[in-house]
Amino acid sequence: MKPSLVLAASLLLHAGAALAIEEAEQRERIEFETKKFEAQIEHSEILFDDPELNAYLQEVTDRMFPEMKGKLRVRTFRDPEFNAFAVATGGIYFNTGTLLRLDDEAQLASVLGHEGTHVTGDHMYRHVKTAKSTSVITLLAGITAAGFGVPPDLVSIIAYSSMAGFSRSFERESDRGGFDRMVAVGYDARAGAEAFARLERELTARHVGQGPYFFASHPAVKERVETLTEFGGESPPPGERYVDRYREVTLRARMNALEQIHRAGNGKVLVFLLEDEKLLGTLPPHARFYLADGLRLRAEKAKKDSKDRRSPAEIEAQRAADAARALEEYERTIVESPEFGPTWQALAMHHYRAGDKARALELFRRYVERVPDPKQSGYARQYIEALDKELEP
Amino acid sequence: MIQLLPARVLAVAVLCLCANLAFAQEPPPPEAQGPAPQAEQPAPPAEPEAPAAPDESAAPDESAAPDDSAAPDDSAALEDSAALEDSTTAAAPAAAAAVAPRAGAKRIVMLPVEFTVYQKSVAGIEAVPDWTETAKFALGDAAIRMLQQDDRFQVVALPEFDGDTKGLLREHVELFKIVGNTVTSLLQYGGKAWAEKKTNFDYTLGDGLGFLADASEADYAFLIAGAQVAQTGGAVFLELLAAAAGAYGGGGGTFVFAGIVDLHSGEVKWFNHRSGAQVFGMTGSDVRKPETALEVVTQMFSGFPESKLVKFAPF
Amino acid sequence: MRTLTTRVAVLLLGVVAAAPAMAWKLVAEGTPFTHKASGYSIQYPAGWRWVKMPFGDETVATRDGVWLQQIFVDFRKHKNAFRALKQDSNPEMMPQELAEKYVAEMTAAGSLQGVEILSNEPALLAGRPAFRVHVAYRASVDMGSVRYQAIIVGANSPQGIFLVGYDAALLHYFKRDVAQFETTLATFAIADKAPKK
Repeated sequence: MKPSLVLAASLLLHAGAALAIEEAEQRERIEFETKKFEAQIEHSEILFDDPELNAYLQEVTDRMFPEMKGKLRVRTFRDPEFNAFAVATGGIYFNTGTLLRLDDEAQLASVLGHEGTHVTGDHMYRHVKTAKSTSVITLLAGITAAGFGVPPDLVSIIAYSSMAGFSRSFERESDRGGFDRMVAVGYDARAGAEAFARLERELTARHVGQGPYFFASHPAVKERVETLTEFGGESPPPGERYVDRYREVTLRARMNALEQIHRAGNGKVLVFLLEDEKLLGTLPPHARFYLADGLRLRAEKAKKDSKDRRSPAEIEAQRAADAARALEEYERTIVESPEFGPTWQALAMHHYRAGDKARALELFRRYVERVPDPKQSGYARQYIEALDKELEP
Repeated sequence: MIQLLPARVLAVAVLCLCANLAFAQEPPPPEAQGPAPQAEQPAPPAEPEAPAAPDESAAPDESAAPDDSAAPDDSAALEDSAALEDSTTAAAPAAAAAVAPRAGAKRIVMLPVEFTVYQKSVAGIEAVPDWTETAKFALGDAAIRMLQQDDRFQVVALPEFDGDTKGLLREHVELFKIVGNTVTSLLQYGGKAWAEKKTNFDYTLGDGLGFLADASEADYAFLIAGAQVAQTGGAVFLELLAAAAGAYGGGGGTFVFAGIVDLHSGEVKWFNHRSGAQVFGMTGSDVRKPETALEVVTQMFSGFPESKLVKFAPF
Repeated sequence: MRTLTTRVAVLLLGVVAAAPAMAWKLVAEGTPFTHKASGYSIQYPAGWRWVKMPFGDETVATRDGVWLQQIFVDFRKHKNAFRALKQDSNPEMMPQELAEKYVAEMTAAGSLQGVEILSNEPALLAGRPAFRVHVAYRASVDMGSVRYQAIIVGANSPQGIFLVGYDAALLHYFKRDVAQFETTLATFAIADKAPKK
């Protein structure tokens, strides 16, 4: 008998043993790891503390999944990326970054419907079962082809499938299921396609093939937009949106996401999101500062993105335009929201770098008037001290 | 490519086919899951029906960072994840009140065992809930028996906590695990620079456990933590295959550590560990078996207060 | 964040007995460590243990273990100074600008949970204008998490950015050893060097 057949047969027998865990046992194992995962989340200070918001998200979910009331539990996750994930025990975690990018309750329902369907469709268990078989097959294939495969552990399976997306078939199943649920309770059927279309535009703007989103692996975003548009075409005329309620309840979370994106220095995303006047109009007047600073950050970015197809001349022209627009937006923010301190400091820094130190000094002083706490305005005070000496007659 | 592997690999493969059942991990016999022993006092805390410690976020006393992560009121999720850890000894609060101090004995509260049993197979590595509960029960049971039989100690019940206090206890337990892992790695493998710690062992969890001392009327806490990785025959086979090809990646094994913490000062007054590697499916300590758990715990505690790494002073 | 990567690497170093070149050393009084390549020197607290990382210019010192407390020094050349942001620094950057990039990198790295900036102020490092950032975060451990706080002080130079930091578990360790960090910080010195290409 050929040695390779002996080896393959041995592996199959051992692999068979690995797969022969009973369903109840496998479910218990998934539940065990999931509870540990959720215990860590509870302890991690990564949940966004807004009981009114969590109650709102829960209410929308319960309306679409009445039979799952008490089993699907929605919590807000303090993360500025567009993402949401569900775990096997019924927990749904919804990023503040997703709330920032959605326009209304109908779009919210489309995402919640999708995630809830992962739970009702038992996708976690089915995914683990498939993944295990696949990993064994991969192992076999790896050994017979080139070497030894690396078996994944359950935690990474859970984490991967939760954060980055299940297989194409499960994602499609959830798209369909989520769509049916939201339409059944009267939400606008076009909402899901809109949410993903915006996401597709963001991915393009960020030069990201497919990011760490809940649909990330399969199917491609574009395909999902097409699928959801097709679903939307099946349904009767537009349903409800509940725009005002959505904007009011989610405002704090959306601003938190914006502040996190700003703190991460992500100028590209800030500009993409806030150039959309529709979004900017739903935020307080001082949010325009984040657009201005986003333009500044985008202008400052040193390295050319490898996926950026523009010529150096085009990039340089863009940088100059961004810098000029940043100045305009800072000045507009000062007019619309004069009490917001950071704008004054940003404008002061702009003039300082441009060499207009007298103007910079005046603007630093205005900033410190609005942010008197020395712990927060330490740098500005230092500039004031230095400029005072430099400019004293 | 297969044809390039040495003939010994194939011989090993055939042997493993025959030996698969011998190395495959089976759950321990049913008698291992019997009731925990009764203490001389009313029921001690760590009879692990469902073990481990609280899991709520703490509102930090010491930190300036605002707490942004409060749980919602609809805490089904919290109950579910807490159920993973809660000690369910309903008798505990009553037991604490009923236990009269015994002269000369150190009052010690046993915290729930923090131990997980994993199964490593060709398909990956997974925590196994049943095996984990069995191992926790066996270790907890063994520790309680050992402490109860030692006149120097008087075991008292673990009180129940909730909210911020529960979270604070959880954080201290996790800190103990960090200390445990640090001690076992650095004092064993860190080299000469760490030798001084063996004679001047001053690890501590800080003085924030006073709430546990007050509630339990204990002066010390006993903690056990660790993990066991049990390999299936398939995983053993792969390990052999890898070794035959010159690349040993490590198999399973058991790692347990235990400590006694002064609840007033936070000092770790005693610490010991036991580890055993499972190599090619052989040896290693299976603490799911009561007799093995007892052996492991007894061995760790023998020579008390001295331990494997450190010569602790009596306290 | 670098310190998290450092912790993992250093913990592994502690376990690998067969790496004498990377062994821990005990700090003796009056024996400052000088990193010739990047030109910094520092006197870590006497009685602590320190190790030079096998990659980069980082050194780490700890009294009890890096997951309990650590003082670290890192030097980053201007090119790729902020790797997670894919950005360089330059010798003209002011402390406030460096702080902004450092905080952005910490946030973008995503490996820490619930990062909170407690303060971000001007400071001095080896007599040079610097930033001082104080952060709080949580690190997951098994069934829960442990709170940490870190202070990072950074200054610019013609050749790159110098960073001196302190990172410790909030329960007991941070408060206990922060004074040692301040004393150590005061010993940090930078040799003037021409920037290398």
